[in-house]
Order: sequence, then C-alpha cells, then structure tokens
Amino acid sequence: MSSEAKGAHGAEGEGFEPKIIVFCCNWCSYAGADLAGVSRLQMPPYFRVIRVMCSARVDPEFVLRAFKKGADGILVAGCHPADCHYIGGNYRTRRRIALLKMLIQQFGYDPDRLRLEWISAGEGEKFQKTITEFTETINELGPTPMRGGG
Amino acid sequence: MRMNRKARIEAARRTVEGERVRWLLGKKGQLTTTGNVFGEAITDARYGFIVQKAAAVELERNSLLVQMERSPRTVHELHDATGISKPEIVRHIIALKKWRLIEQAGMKGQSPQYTALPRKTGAGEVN
Repeated sequence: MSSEAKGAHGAEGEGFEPKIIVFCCNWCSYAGADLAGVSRLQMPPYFRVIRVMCSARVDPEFVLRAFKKGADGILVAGCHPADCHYIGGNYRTRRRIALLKMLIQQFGYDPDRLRLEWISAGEGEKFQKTITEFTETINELGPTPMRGGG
Repeated sequence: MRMNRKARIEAARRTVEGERVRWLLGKKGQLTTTGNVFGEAITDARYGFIVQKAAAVELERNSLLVQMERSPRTVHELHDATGISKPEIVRHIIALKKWRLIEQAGMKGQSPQYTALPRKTGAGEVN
C-alpha cells in the first residue's frame, strides 16, 4: 500500500462515498456498461459514466480537471488493443495514461487513482468486476487529497 | 512556502497541453518503427525515457511559470515555492527567457526578479 493510502485511513470516515468518474468509449465500453446494466449485475453506485466517442477523446486535461474538482478516482475504459473503431485511438490513450500516472504522482496522488481498462461490448461482467475492484481500491485509498485526504 | 496542489495540477495541465509532450505522444509509432527523417528508430524503452524526461522538464518549467504569473519572483523565491534546485531554476530561466515567456521585472536587493509574459492562449484555464 502506498504512503498516500496509509495516510488516508485517518481521513476515511465511516460514510466515505467515493466519487468515481468513468470515461467509456462509445463503441465498446459503453455498450459493455449497458450490458452490465441490462443484465442487472450488482455494482457499487459511486461512479458516473461519461460517454466519449473514443478513449482517445479523453484529453489528459479532462483527467486533471476531474482531479482538481475533487474526483477520488478516474477509470478510462476503451476497446481492446487492435479493436479500436478509429484504428489506433486506444494506443494513444495508453501512452497518455502512462504519462498522467507519472504526473499525478508529482502532486501527491496515488497512481492507482487513475486506471485504464479494456472492456468490449460483450464484457458486461468484466465491467462490473472492474468497477467493483476499482471502488474497493479507492475506498482503501480514502478521499482524494483535494478533499482533505492523505 | 510550497506550491499548493491546485497550482501543481495547473502546471501538470499545461505540461500535457504543451506542444513538446503532445508531439512526443503522437509520434510514438513513427519514432519506434520507421524512425525519424534520417531513418533512425529508437527502442520502446528509450522512447519511454525520453517522454518521461521531457514531461518532467516541462512540469518544472510550468511550475515556475505559474509562480511567476502571480508576481515577480527571484530565483530564491522560486526555489522556496517549488523545491526545484537553484542551478536547475537558472537553466529553466535561461530557456524561458530565450522563448520570451518571461522577462526581468526588476531587482530585489542583489537578485533579479522575473515575471511571466502574458500567455497567448489562456482559454483552457482550469477553474
């Protein structure tokens, strides 16, 4: 567990409700999220889905803005490598997320607060698992440093 | 006085928005497979190293710029605010002056004060 996570437990109250932003690509992950919904798979309700046409549409600025506004965790979900509707958008996303993970560490955020996942339209179950795991990770880390966390 | 988190996030935002980092991120395929105009390709590991280093340098420069936009600052004040070493700050100041992003605004005792020149594009400012 990182130093941020260790420090966070003090700030983590009983009623900590994480704010998680999920960017879903229109062609795969959003359909996967939809499938998870219509299949009535149970998920923690602390995430907000933002649909984008491609995971590469997620400008690093969106992520930084969300963190600045107090998001506890950000999940970017896109098509599997080589499945991108726009040929290579998800490869770009992978590079950007790697860079962002490095940058957010510089201002005291745990890199685990940002996650990239490949979820296809048929993987409703994977979407549910990812959301559940990610929510658990964020619960462990506690509130974002912007909201008084460690 | 250390930089607050919002200022750091703003510096990070400018870093990812900056031409240098965006260009490097966009050219990965070309740089690691077909190579540059001389046909020189680099390995993935080397590419990763270059991107990380460029981002780290840009982050430092943007942190300094964020400080100098608030008010004119000396090297000592910039060191206190950002924690970047003084020789490194001097190197950044030379580069920033060369690109006309900052200028000398006066003297504070024996130390020159620098201030950031108005940015051409301020549209993406995070509030």
